[in-house]
Amino acid sequence: MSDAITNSSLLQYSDAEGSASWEGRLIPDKSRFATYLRKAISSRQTDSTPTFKSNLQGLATADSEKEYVGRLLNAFPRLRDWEIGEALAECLLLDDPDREIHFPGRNLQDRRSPQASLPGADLVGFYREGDAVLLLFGEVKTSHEGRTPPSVMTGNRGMVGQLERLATRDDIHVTLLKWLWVRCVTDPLKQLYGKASSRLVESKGRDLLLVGMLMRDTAPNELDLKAPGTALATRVSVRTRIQLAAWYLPIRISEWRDILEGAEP
Amino acid sequence: MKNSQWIIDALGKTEIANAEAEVGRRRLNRALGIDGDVRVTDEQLRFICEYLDLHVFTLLSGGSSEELRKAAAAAFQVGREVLWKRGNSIEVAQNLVRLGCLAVLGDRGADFRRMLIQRGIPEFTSEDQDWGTRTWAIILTIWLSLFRKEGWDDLDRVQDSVARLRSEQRLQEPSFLIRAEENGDSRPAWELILAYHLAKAAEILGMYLSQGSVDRRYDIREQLESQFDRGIAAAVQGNLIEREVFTRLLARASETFVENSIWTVTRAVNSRVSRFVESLVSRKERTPIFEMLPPQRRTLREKGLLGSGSRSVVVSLPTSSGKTLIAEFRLLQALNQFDLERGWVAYLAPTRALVNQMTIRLRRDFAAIKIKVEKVSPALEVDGIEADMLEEEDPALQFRILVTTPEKLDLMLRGGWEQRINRPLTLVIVDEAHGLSSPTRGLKLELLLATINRECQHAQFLLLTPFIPNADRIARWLAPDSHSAIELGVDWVPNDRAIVIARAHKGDKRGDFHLSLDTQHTTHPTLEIPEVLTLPQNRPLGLLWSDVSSSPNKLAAATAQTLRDRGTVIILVGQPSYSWGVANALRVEENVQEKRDEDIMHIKRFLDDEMGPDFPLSSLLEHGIGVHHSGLSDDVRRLVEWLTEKSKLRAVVATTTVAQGVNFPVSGVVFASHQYPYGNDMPPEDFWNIAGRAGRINQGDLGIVALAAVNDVKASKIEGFIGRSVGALNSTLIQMVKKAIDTGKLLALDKLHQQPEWSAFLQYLAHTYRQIGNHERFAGEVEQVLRGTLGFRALRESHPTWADELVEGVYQYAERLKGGPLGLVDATGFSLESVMATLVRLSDERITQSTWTPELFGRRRNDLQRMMGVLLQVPELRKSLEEVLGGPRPDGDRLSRIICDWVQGRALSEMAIEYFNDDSREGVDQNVTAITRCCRSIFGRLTQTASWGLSALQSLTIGDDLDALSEEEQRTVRNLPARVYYGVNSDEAVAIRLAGVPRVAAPRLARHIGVSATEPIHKVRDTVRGTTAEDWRKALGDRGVSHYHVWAILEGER
Repeated sequence: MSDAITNSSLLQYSDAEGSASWEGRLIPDKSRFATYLRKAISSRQTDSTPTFKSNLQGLATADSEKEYVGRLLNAFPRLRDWEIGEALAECLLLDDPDREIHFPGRNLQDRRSPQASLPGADLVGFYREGDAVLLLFGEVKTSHEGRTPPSVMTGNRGMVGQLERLATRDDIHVTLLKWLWVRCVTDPLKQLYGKASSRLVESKGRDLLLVGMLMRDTAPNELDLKAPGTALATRVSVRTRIQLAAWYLPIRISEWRDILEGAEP
Repeated sequence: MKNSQWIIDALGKTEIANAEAEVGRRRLNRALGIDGDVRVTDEQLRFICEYLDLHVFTLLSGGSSEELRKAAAAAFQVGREVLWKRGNSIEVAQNLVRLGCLAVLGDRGADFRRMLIQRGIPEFTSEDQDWGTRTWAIILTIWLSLFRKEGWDDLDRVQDSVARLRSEQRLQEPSFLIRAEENGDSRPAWELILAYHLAKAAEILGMYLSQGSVDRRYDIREQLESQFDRGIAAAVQGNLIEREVFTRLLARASETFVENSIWTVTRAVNSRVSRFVESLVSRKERTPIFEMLPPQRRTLREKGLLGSGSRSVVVSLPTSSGKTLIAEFRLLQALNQFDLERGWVAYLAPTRALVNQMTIRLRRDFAAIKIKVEKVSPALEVDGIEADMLEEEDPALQFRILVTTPEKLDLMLRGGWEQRINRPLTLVIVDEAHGLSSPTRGLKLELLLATINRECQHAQFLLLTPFIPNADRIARWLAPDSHSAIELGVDWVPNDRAIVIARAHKGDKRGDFHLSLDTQHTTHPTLEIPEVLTLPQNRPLGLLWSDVSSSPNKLAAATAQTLRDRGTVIILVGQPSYSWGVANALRVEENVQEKRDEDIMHIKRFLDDEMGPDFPLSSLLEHGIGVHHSGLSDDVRRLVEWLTEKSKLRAVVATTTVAQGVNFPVSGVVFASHQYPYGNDMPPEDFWNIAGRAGRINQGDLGIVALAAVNDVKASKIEGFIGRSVGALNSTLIQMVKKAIDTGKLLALDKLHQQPEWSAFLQYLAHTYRQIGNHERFAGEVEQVLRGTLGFRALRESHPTWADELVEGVYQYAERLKGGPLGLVDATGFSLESVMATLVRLSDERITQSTWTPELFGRRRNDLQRMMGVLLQVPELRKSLEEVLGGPRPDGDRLSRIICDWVQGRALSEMAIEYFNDDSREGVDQNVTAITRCCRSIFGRLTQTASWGLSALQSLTIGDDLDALSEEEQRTVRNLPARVYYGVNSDEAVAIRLAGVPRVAAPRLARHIGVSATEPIHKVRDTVRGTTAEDWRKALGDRGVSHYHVWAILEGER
């Protein structure tokens, strides 16, 4: 995927406190963003329909009814905003020319719950910095809310709460590491895995990178991230790096689906 | 990166060791009621546990199974302390399932089952739960039931719960999923798909565990894989991260479930094995066996014992590994191999008590598949009733398994009984085969096996030992070209143990003291913590500092008292006479049993008759205290074992005889002494055999083995003792040869015949000489004959010149054998020299065929007295008989009086006072000492030795002339030694003694129920089994009811 869009983004603000840093970036060009969005989604989405049909077929072997489950799985034919936001955030991270990031096992999953459930993370991968490799766990929020920071950032189920849990809960780390282990099938990935998780273990579960990505269609405002960043800096170990990024995007979130389905921006 | 050792390296070995020590510390503190310090927090433990669990996860596919097992065991050990502690009930249940997976993968399933049985499975109410949560809760409960498998109830629960889940699905699902749809949430659909697959997998597994197939299909692994794969696919699709990894672990654990299932282990061996398994799993069984213990699985399947064509197999496993079941499967295989010939199996156990217990166990286990199990008494002759049983011609009644001692089988085979049985001996199972290195009985066993190997065409061997380092060499000895050794080392234990040194510490006030326990590093996997544990109690049992600071027995009693709340504790004392003092120390108010127990009541009444009315054990039982040593009758010892098995005793004061008890489960063992009576340290294998009884399957969470040390010197000796490794199993022949060389007698073997172990060797030569039947051929085969023994093979390698000298000695001895009455050597169990000398003495004493009448034990006691005079001069018997007499006094008169009283049914308490009294003691103590000596003499020496001696004298005086007597006369004469063995004075009473009826009840019950001495033993047994308590009451008065109760216990009917 082209990394031009990340290069052409405009830094609106950046700051740091303790181990937390945050920045806001603006993508001004609607047309380039539309193209990027389409690519981001197509690179991530697989045609899941046959798989989930076979899942339903398989349910018969478990002597269970499939009618209602099938109905729910069929209920959302169109991608939802938060799904698009997650795919977009992942691509933006991968395309960041200043960072080397790996997400093993992308594209495998289909539908997700919009409700945060524990444990879990929207982003699970590695971040390489020279010889060092860190585990990267992250959360993505998509919001068109006028309020700043938007409500998806606050509260127990908001980004701050989620990242804090991701920073401090060893059981969540291990669950994510197990999940990742299954997906690190190549030797290079396994090497990244070994380095990053050794580092995590040796630091007693502290030395990792937490990323929070906020997808916005509003005007840039540092208040989106300042309070969350400061809060996390005080609640999380200094050894845990926290990077929050808000992306201010030129097309309204409510229009994203239309863009994906071919509408012009 | 295939190797995930980096997780362990990153965690740090010290950190892991600290965590393990902390778990050990907490478990010990809990077990001992200590409010100890926490040195590693729950948080830190959880951290270690999570990463140990990750290590396991990385090994689930692709790792070696041994690596996975070790990793899972390590994770389980830490996880058992913290994993189930946090979160709501769903989280607790989910973590318990995770812990269960680790346990199963780590071969610690038994520990986890125990945890679940003790703590219960979390319960969920259906209120306040949506269908998704409820489904998951049901799934977790179902799987926990599968882990627990407490009888059929748990497996039934699995099937019921799955059925209920399906029936509720239709009702509950629509509204639940519609709500999800309204919330724009598709996740519940994936969660339900996963849950239904896990329900189906549980159903399949439950069915398989209970019946060995699912819908008549045996592709259990594939059926399970299919459900798990679909479940995992749903979890992946739904991005159910936590449930995905949970399911992957569960899928792998389920594979191990299948591997451990008794059906998998025994599949497609033969129909008899299948029928046996059906009976073990049957709903009729009180404790059905659904899965094998890890050592059983590894022995039977992975190490191939079930499919083994090896003729000689040594199974060397730690104590409590379920060796009997292993032997039973091997036994069925051997019976199947020689089914047409109706081959039989000899099961050899070292003691009378074990012979009885093994017979009961095998009879019970094989009843459903109609395999006849019989025992022949360890008395060294085949009595009339046994002879009928052995020669039974009706195939439906023929025994297929014969349980006995090595000595008895030796005399039987040398007496030509294999030919008379007229069916081939196909397998010899030697229980406690480490007895091969016993200085007193080892050589006899070795020579017996060598003889069988040489003479029984179809014989195969299965030797069962606790761990020994040289099992392979032993297996190779009996079949160099077809052998296998199955060793599982010491790394599997049925539950954890700590070996501690117990010390007393003086308190501030006069008389005060408290105890401390110091865990020890050992050669076995035992819990160890760096600091000394201080027990909170001041002056346990009300003892004083002056009591415990000098007496290891009192110190042991105090230690046992602090352990007793956790379950039964054995206190081991150096000799029987010490047991009463220790038991009395435990007889305190706080130990009085609150509930009156019916079994104890009956046993007390029996004790009054068997041991006399004032016997102290009777009142000790009311305090939950038992005593177990050779100074009790066999029946009383067995009753104490039974009470212990049933957890009716809190403490049992015992000597090392207790180690020979089958399934003697306790939660703790306290050694007042680690030495045998004459001051020798017990060998490490004996120590571990006893220590292995602390905390067995189904017994407590942690076994504690404490050794009492009254001072620093003693403590340091104990430390050295514990650190010793189990030695190799070696023949005693090498030491014997060394001694003979030192005394210059190796070239004159006949001069060694006075030593019982050399007598056994000379008899082996005589027997082989007789079998070969030709002097020149024997001379030509000497080396070969000797090479049949384990000892000579080793001698050839280690000391070739000694071996040459021994061969030369044998050549010379063969000259003496030429033309000798070697048949008498086989018939008597005496050396040729003893036979010749005894023949002369018999002639001098004018003891002839006509001397043999039942009047020997009455009017013609003089004849018996002369016989005893002769026997007291037979080297093979002398020592035992002298011990009965209390020293080297050749007093045939006294011996014959003891025997007559015994046979005529005189009470032991009366005999004790008359023959075994020690005037230097007074009061109750005097009586107890007397009866202790009486029982040791009668049960430990007299019954065995005198009956053997009489039987030998019969062989020397009657010989073939027996055939001239009528059948009834023959039976009566043949049964005379058995009367001495069983302590009764009629053939009918002998018959019902064989059916397990106690001596005090036998004569009157035999008369009352009209048993005839001509009836075959199985009929007598059926008759006795058909009696009721009322029959016994009619025969014996009110106490008959108690005797009936006791008989039922002794015969395994309760």
